[in-house]
Order: sequence, then C-alpha cells, then structure tokens
Amino acid sequence: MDRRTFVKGSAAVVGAATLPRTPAQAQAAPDKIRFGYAITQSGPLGPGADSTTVSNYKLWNKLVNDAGGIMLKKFGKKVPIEMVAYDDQGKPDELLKLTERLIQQDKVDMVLSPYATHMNLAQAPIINKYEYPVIMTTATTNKTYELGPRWPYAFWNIAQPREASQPLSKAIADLKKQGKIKGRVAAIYPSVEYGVENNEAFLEAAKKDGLEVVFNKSYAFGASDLQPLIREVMATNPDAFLAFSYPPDTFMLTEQAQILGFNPQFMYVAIGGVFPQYKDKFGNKVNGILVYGPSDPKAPGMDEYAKAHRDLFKQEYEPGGVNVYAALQLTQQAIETVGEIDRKKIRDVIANTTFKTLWGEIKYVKQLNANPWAVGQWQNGELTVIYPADKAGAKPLLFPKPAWS
Amino acid sequence: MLELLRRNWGISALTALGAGLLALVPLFGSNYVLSLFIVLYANVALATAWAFFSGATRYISLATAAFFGVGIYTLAILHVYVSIPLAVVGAAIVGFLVALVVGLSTLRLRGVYFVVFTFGLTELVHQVLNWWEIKINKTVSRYIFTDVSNVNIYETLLAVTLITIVGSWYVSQIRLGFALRAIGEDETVARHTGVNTTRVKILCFALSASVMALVGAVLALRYPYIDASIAFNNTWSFQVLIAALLGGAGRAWGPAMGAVPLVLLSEYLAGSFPHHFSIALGLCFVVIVYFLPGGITRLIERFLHSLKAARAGMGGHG
Repeated sequence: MDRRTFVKGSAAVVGAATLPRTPAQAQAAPDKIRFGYAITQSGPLGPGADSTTVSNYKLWNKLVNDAGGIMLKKFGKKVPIEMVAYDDQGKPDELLKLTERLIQQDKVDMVLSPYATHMNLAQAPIINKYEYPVIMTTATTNKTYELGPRWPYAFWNIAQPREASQPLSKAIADLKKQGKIKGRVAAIYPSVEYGVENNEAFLEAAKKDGLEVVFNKSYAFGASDLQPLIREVMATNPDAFLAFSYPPDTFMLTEQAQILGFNPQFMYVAIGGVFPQYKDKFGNKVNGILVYGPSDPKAPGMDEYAKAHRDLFKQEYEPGGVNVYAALQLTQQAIETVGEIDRKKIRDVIANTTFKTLWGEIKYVKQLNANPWAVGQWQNGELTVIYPADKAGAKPLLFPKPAWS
Repeated sequence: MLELLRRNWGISALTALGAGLLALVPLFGSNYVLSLFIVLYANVALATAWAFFSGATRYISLATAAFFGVGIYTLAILHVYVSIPLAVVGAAIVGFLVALVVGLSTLRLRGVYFVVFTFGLTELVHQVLNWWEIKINKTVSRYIFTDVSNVNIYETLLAVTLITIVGSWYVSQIRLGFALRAIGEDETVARHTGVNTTRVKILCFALSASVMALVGAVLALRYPYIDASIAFNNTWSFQVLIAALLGGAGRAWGPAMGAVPLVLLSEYLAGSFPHHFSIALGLCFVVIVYFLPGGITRLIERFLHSLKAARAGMGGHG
C-alpha cells in the first residue's frame, strides 16, 4: 500500500466512523479518469493525424474538464479526465508496444483510437484481448464487414467503401432513369488500399444498377501530373466522373480539370474534398462537387464546436474529424450511463444504444456504424450532407454541377 | 568451433548465462515488457545482420527495409497454406534467394552507387508488389491471423538474435570473415591475394538478407494487417544503419550496443517528446560522425585498454 492510498484509506475509516454510511462512500471516487492513445506524430501521416484526430482529443479534453469532468453516478460526482499520449511513428510494432504500455504500465482507464486504416486494424486485436472498448474512427476497408464481429470490443465509425460507393451509383442510375444523364461513367483511383477498394465497390454497384463504365484506370499515388489521365477521360466523353482520390490528388484533379475545361455534370472526389483548405483554394468553383466523409455544419451543437475549435487552435475545424469528436461524445455518454469505469458494461452500452452526437445519430450493428455520413456536396460555398439520403439533415442533390466559371 | 570456444571461454560463458536469463523473462515480465524486448531483439538482430555484411565490407546498404518487407510478405502469403514455423523458415529462404539475385547483378557497384541502388531497391520491390496485388488480387492489403503468443514470438526472436550475434562472431573468426574484412580494406588487393571476392560478397549479402527477412516474418506474426507501405518502411533501413554505427560495426557485439540504447531512447521519446523522434535519430548520427567514428564498442575497448595499461604500470612499480 503506497502512502496516498493509505491516507485515503484512513480518511475513509474516519469518515465511516463519524458519518452515517451511504453507498457513495463505500468506495472513494477516482480523482481522475485517464484516457490513453498512441498515434502517429512523426512521419508522413503526422499532420493528418493531428488535424483529424489529435485536435479533437485535445479539444474534448479541455471542454470536458471545463464542465467539471465526466459524471460517475456511482460516486455521485464529476471526475476530471487526463490524457496519456504516445507517438507510434506510423509503425504497427510501435503501436502494439505502446498500447500495451498504456494498458499495463500506465493503467489507463480507456484507450482511444489511433490514426489511419492499417493502424486501427492493427490495434483491434490487442484492445480486444485486454477488453478495452475502442471506437475506431479512421478505418475504411471492405474487410471490416467480416472483421467487425471478430473483435467485440472494437467499433467502426466511418463509412466503409460499399456505403460510400453505392449511393453514388444509385444517384447516377436515378438521374439516368429521369433522362437527365446518359449514365456514362468514368472512374479513376490511386493505387492505394482506399482507392482500390472503393473503386471495386463502385464497379460492383454500377454493374447492378446497369451503368455504363466507359473509363476505369488507376494512377500512381503521389503522381505529379494528372493531365494526361484527365485528357484520356475527356476523350471518352463521360457525364459522370468519380475519383476515389487522396488529398494531394483531390486538389490536383480539381485544379487540372479546370485548366483543361473538363466539365462533367456529376463529379465526385474522395478524401480531402471536405477540407477547409479545399474551399479556400477553389472558392465557389467547389459548388456541385461531391465529396467523401462529410459532417453536417448545421447539426445542433456545431456552432459551439466550431467556435471552441477556433478559440483553441486558431483555425477552422476539419469536417472529416467530426466523427472523432462524436466517438468521444458517445464514449462519455456510455461511461455516464454505466456510472463507473466498468469496461465490460461500457462496451455493452456502446453496442446497444442509439447515441445523439455532433455527427448525427450513431447506432452500431455488429459493431459497425449502421448509418454514417458517407457523401457530401458543396452547395453555395458550404459543405452539405447528401448521402445516406434518408438520414436526418440530408440535403437534396444539386444537379447538374455548375460549369467552372 | 570448439577450439574457438575454448579460447574465448569467458565471453562464451557470459553469453550463455545472459541468454539463459533472458529466456526466463516471460516468467516475470508483463506483456508490455515482452513487447519492448521483442522490438529490442528485432533491432539488435537487424543491426547485427546489417553490420555482418556492410560493417566488414564497407558496402553501405540501405536495403534492410526491402528484405525485412520480403520476409513480412512471404509470411503473409505462406501462412495461409503451410504451418507457421514453415512459413517463417520459408521467409528466410526467400530473403536469401532475392538477395542472391540482387547481389549477382549489383555487387559490382561500389561506393555511393551501391548506396543509391540499395535505397532504390526497397522502392522497387514495394512498387512491383503493389502492382501485382492490385492487378491480380484487386486489393493492396493482406491479413495475418495467427494465435502465436507473445511468449513464443519472444523466445523465437531471442534465439534468432543470439544465433545472429554468435554466427556473426564465428564468421569473423574464420577465413570467410578474414576475406570479408580484406574486401573492406581494399577489394583489388583482396582479389589479387586469391579471395574470390564476388562469391564472398554475394554469399554474405544473402546471409545477412535472410536474417532480415526472418526478423520481418517473426514480427509480422503480431500484425493483423499489412500492406506494402507498412512492409517496406524506409525508416527501418536508416534506424538499423545508425544503430550499427552507434554501437560499432566492426565487432559482433557492437550493433547490439547501439540498438539497445536507441530503442530505449525512442521508447522514452515516444512518451515525453512525441514529435522529436526523427530529430533524435539525426542527432545520434551527427554524434557518431563527429565524436564516435568507431562506435560505443571502440570507446569501451579504449577504456578497458587504458585500465589494463594503468594496472600493468602499477604492477611494474610494485
């Protein structure tokens, strides 16, 4: 017994002797709830991890503690939170080692998600082994459909390739049915996991919806010029153009399509299309462009969130990171429902509750978010949420995309 | 071998004792301690394997990540069809064969050309694999599901590390090691004195590569998910090179003396200064170049030497 627990223990004995005993005093409340995460801080993924994930961890930490902490009803008091953070250098070995360090040495109460698909997947077995519930906020791969049930303590928050691609195919098919479009589709993708899987998922859906895919080609990730590829696309005269792109190519494509005067009526770019910098760079030319992984800026609470973010970091929030904040909110709700740090019970609450968050309603089915925001669109210089179309807050599609002016 | 052991009985006994104690760590250590040791062993084995070839011949290779990645991929592909131990051995063999082919075509390059080529090799293997996965398998990721425990991985890596160090030391004591060092001193002279330099270089390059692939395969047992960018992470090449130089690439024990403090340092930095790992690695390199050209082992040897000299001096007076 170290000195502190001894002192606390003595205090409890004295308290028990002098006051009538109530359940709340049977056990002292913890003086802190500790959250731990290992995330990429050095290396090429560092900046992305910072803007999408770490910024939200810091913001949430501040806002929760400003409000006095997380309510633990078993002890009848609010308990402040504390973060333990490590740098995994983008290496899975480091992530595994540091996760064990968090759980075994630091004895944190909860673990938070790392950054990027492969790191989320790498951590899932280990948090499952130690029975720490974690909401994985940056993993998108077709494999989650089979892998989800394998690890009951891991939850998957964002739109997976099928959920992101099927609504696009359906939208084009609907436009074709209404006679607004011929349904000639061109799709390109970088040769990385994300690009390949989304492209495959789209082709599958397009086949089912009877679309004519007139062009389908990959390009090297990190390509420094996409004009030749865009020219090839233009030669096939498509009316719908989709790029399952990564941030650098998303920006490059949008710029080079303007230079070449490529004006598809239906245009989708993937990661990076929601960044505030995308709007800053292209101004109102972004109108009509469809993008991956949005959040609804009109959702209740978003104004306060945007302001708090601006106050703390002196820059605009990243819409793709709102799901991370939502995961933290629902973790807090789950802990408050349970009323103590009992990870088994917290896991069950997460698995069986419909949560109201900044990112809309979240409900997990087989640990997969049943209805995440998948596709957004820039309309009147603002990011809106479009698909899934039946989700509260969804706006109608703007069609056709205005020509570059 | 026996004769060699008898001549070096002190260090041999110490090594055996140390290995025995380390083998007992899983009885006491938590999983975190095991994980830390696993990363330590991987770094020590890689640095020793690197120094075995590059330290002696002075052909500076940046292809560690390439062979390491070949090991990871071989395991990922093979473990579906054969048992885990077989897949791990298979990885070492594939690493050996790839290095053989690469070595045949490139070991005539010297100096900076060799360095640049080996750096490019990692990227080449990376891109070829990527192309193959996308065109043929329609994905770029693979999943490794095994139930190999941390303890098994720990013991396997400990054995691999020890064999690498002892093997590297053994070779340095026989003719092959002498030939390697002769190539490092002056390749032309070595050739004229009758050393078949091509054969020696390629054999040792491939041996070193097979250890790297082996380490990759064993570590991969811990990854559920891999893709080419994880398997062919260039940081490994640099970290291993710096560890070997920091410790001293000329002695069998040298790379370990560099890898251990580097891993511990990175463990400390990961918690205390998460953004500064690359800076620390760079600083290490500067320190080596300016202050420790012979590495930590040279420093220790000089210290021991002066101690001995001082004692001899005292003995003379007494």
